[in-house]
Amino acid sequence: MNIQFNNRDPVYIQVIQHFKLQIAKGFLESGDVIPSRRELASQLKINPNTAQRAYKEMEEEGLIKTEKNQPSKVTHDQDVLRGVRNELIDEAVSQFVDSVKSINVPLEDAMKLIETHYKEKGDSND
Amino acid sequence: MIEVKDIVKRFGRKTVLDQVSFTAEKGQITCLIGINGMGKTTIMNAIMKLTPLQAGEILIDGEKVTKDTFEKIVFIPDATIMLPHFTIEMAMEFMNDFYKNWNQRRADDMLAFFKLNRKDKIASLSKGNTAKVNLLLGLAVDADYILMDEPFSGIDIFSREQIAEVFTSYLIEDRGVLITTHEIGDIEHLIDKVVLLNDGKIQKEFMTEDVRELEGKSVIDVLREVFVQ
Amino acid sequence: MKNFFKLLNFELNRVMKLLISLMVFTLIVQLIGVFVSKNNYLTQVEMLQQNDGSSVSQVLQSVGYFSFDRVVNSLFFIGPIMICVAAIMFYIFLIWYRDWFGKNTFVYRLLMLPTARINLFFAKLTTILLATFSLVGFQLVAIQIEMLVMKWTVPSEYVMEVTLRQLIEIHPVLSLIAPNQFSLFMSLYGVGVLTVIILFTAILLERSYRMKGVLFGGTFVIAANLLVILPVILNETVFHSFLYNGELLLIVLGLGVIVLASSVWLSKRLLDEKIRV
Repeated sequence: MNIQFNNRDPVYIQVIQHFKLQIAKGFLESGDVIPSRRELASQLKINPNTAQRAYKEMEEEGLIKTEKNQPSKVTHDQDVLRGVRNELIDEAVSQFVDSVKSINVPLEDAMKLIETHYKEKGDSND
Repeated sequence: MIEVKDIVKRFGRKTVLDQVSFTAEKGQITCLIGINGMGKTTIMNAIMKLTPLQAGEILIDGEKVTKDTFEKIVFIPDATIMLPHFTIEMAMEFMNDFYKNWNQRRADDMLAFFKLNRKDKIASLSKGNTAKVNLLLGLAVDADYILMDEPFSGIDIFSREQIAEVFTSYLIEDRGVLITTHEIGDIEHLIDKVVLLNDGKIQKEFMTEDVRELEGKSVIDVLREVFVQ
Repeated sequence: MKNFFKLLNFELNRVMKLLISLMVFTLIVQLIGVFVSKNNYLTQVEMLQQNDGSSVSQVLQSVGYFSFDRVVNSLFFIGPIMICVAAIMFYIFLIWYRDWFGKNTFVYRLLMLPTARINLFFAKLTTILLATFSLVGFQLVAIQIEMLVMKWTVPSEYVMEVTLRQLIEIHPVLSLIAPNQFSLFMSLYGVGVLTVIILFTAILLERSYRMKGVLFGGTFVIAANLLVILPVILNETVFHSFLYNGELLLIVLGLGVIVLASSVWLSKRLLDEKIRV
């Protein structure tokens, strides 16, 4: 596990984003055990406080669950997990739309372009 | 909490610290940044009572620094402060002799992590390894606060990476760390708080995640705003 | 207290090499002195016997017995003592300055130890005293060894034995470093301890205030000395020997204690509040 952090976004949000991606891609599934805060800090080379904060936020969002004296696990709540996937897709599309809109691309053109690019890239998903 | 309150330090007619105030909390890494050299080291020396102040006071957890405070706060200067003819082992014994809070298990962990040989003489170590030994001797004391002066300066890139890794480990977890550096790039995403010092005055004190979240700025961006006008 | 002994042990280890070298040096040079004096004497004896055909008693008549005071008055004997004295004087300064100016600035470590800083002062003071006493003690043992060597190498008919006590009595340097009377011993070493303490304080003044501190330190040394001998001067000049010697001694002793206490107090304050790395 390795993330290249950018320095302008909060590190804890980048960590959460990283987890959401893992979930959306299916690398992390419901009920999977995730590393402890300490392990995460040293894996990602971040400050343990930041790892702590990321986990706290993810707990509040219901993404992960920590029961007493148990390692943290990805939630069993399928709605939340679907929500993550939808959120990421939504974000990506919205970003794309922002960029093409800023250079005045009509919707139909944009749709066509998406189609061609999507097919060109085949099924590779990374 | 380390509280620095309105401290003033003059060397002759030159004012190095002019009413400097800031805090460094337990459980956070606070980075003291100044473009020109003077001042940062003086603050650390003043916290450890290694240099007298003209005015102001420094409190650790609300109390003035006494001999007992030195079990609670350790200072790792940028140069070796152990006798050159000592081996790493002798240096650890020395520390163990005087510090109730010396934790040999931590020391052994760090020896292994840094791949240091306990029989090596301090004088014979490379710059990078000297810095690691410095760090080891400080961090192996179970102190609540750790002051580090320029832990990355003048050492090779791989030693820097190893040292930065210490900041992500249990070795500093829950402790309050005050660090000075001018190579902020090494640790930008590791630090919780920044205190900017310029011309002997505090220019800005901020939480790094806050400026990223609220202003979308990196630490370097903020530095640029303050120092380059 | 425990920390004081740890520091003392530490400081003693640091001075050990110097002490042992001084002792070895002293013994070797003084033994050379024994051989040189013995050879000079025996050459004279031989010349008398060969050239004039003198008998033992005639020889003794003209050149006298060979006794140890021939050895102790040579440079071979006094030289090493002087060097030891100089070394201790030098070490009074070195014991502090080495921590600032050594290859690594060890004074950081020392000042940050979780122990009262005045313990550093006392540990260094005790180290100087113990170093001095071990050198003096060693000298007394060395003399016995040198006397034995003399007895083995000089034909017994020419030897006049003297005791250590007699030797000290007649010897200006020995009587200073190891006086026979207890009271003299106490006062000499009392003055010695006071001197070291005053010098330590002066060093700490310099280390705290640097250039200005040199001035403060110098002033402090002069003032402290003046204060202690002031009654003696006043008694001579103003009071025309109004005080008996015993009374004068008591006053000087009292002032000595006051100077000692204030010097230690000042040093503690400097170490706690003013010292700079």
